Amino acid sequence: MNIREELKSDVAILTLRGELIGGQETIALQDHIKGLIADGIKNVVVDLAKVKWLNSSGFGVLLGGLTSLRNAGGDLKLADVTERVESLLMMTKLITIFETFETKERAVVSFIKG
Amino acid sequence: MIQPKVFYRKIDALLSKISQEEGEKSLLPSVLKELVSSFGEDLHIKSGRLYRQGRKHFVLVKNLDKVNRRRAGSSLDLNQPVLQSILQQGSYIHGDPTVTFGPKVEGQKGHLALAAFVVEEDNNRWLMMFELGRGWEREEIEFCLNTVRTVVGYRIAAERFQSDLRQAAQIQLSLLPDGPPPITGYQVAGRQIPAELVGGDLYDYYPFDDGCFGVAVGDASGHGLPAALLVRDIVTGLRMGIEKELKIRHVFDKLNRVIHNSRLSTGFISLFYGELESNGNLFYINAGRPPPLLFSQEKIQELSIGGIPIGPLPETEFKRGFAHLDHQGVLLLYTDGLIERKSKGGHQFGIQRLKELLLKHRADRADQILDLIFDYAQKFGKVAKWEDDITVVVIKRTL
Repeated sequence: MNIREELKSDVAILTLRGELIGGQETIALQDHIKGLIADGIKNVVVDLAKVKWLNSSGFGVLLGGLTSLRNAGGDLKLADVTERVESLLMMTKLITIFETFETKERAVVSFIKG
Repeated sequence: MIQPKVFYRKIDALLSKISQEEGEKSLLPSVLKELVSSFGEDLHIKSGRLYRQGRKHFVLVKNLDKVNRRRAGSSLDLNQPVLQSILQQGSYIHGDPTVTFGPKVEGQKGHLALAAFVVEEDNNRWLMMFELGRGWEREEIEFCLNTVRTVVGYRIAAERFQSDLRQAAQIQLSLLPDGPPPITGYQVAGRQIPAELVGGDLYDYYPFDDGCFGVAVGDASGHGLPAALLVRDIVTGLRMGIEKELKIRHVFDKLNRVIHNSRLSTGFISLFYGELESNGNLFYINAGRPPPLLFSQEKIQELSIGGIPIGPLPETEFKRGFAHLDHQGVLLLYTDGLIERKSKGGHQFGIQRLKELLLKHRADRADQILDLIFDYAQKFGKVAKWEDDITVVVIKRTL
């Protein structure tokens, strides 16, 4: 999996590509979010358009990121979730925790307005 | 001079031989033997000895020198300067005339060249000593012995870690139910296969006095030790809560708070708990699990009422769901590892396939259905190895 970062005002957009299923991949994402918080960036949009699958470890790291960002006064929002990943979010009911948006642009706007 | 390529190949071979050694015994005697037999000729190592540190002496425990058995000396005085120097520096190679083993060990004329290093293993300290023959070269010996010493040190540390892990696995195994609960009117069959030595799945049964019984299946995020610890917390918490006859929703609330407040930032656990009465009534909470399947009245129902997984939020609400199990009805509980198992073509096992399997074999006994599911999933997979923990529990109502 690879992570691409893009900044819009004070919101970081992380575009993930591949599968988020534990091991090195989840550690990389965890470290990336920690780095953002250390640099004072607390609002993060995770773009999942190119993520084919994520399992419990993948959710674990997204939830960990969400908790750390909320504790720092920010938030983590999901954008462009594929159908498969969305059905997984519904099944685990995690859809009630994560704010999800059709596109990353809309997610960014929600931060700026909010 | 030994070729670097040859040297690395031999080191590799030596290491793989060492790593095949198993059991409680120290691996050092076999390291000594392998070292002398694989490097003896190239590095001019004639023979080797192994000593274990006692209170005042290093005591000889193995001597490869079959010709001059007695020369080794059965023990070395711990106080002699050469040993003090080795203990400080870790190793020794013949050469400094002020630091020697003296004529008793090195021979009357001092013509015996020796090299030695120290290895720590748990509470023991060992000294491995080699007799060098004509033509030995300091750099080669230094390099070889240092490499072996480092690798053996790692191996011992890894061994210790493995044995800690094995203990963790033992603890985890002890948390699993011994067998099906003694319940009349139901057949219960469950099995768990961890992908690693310790796993992140759990299942448990809770028989009650009035003929009811509870069943739990859960899956902690991640693998290995952190997941295993989370599993232990949940199993213990559930048992305590249920024993105290607390309302199950309160137990879930409490577990959620405890897990949320623990410091494992990525730790969360999805958990299903259901309680079955002898008349087939079932109430349950599904906290973030893929839905258990209930076959009753000729159709399959997904049990999904409950809430989010336990841990990610400080406060969350869990709802109770109700269902009914008919005579010959089947309740099928499973963890993610089963439905996420991948085939050669990259397809996932999926819930649909599981439903079809259940419909086809619903007339079988619970243990037969369990075997069938594992057989089918095993063959379905791209690789024979289980890549994730898999737990399945099958409950069938027979009365």
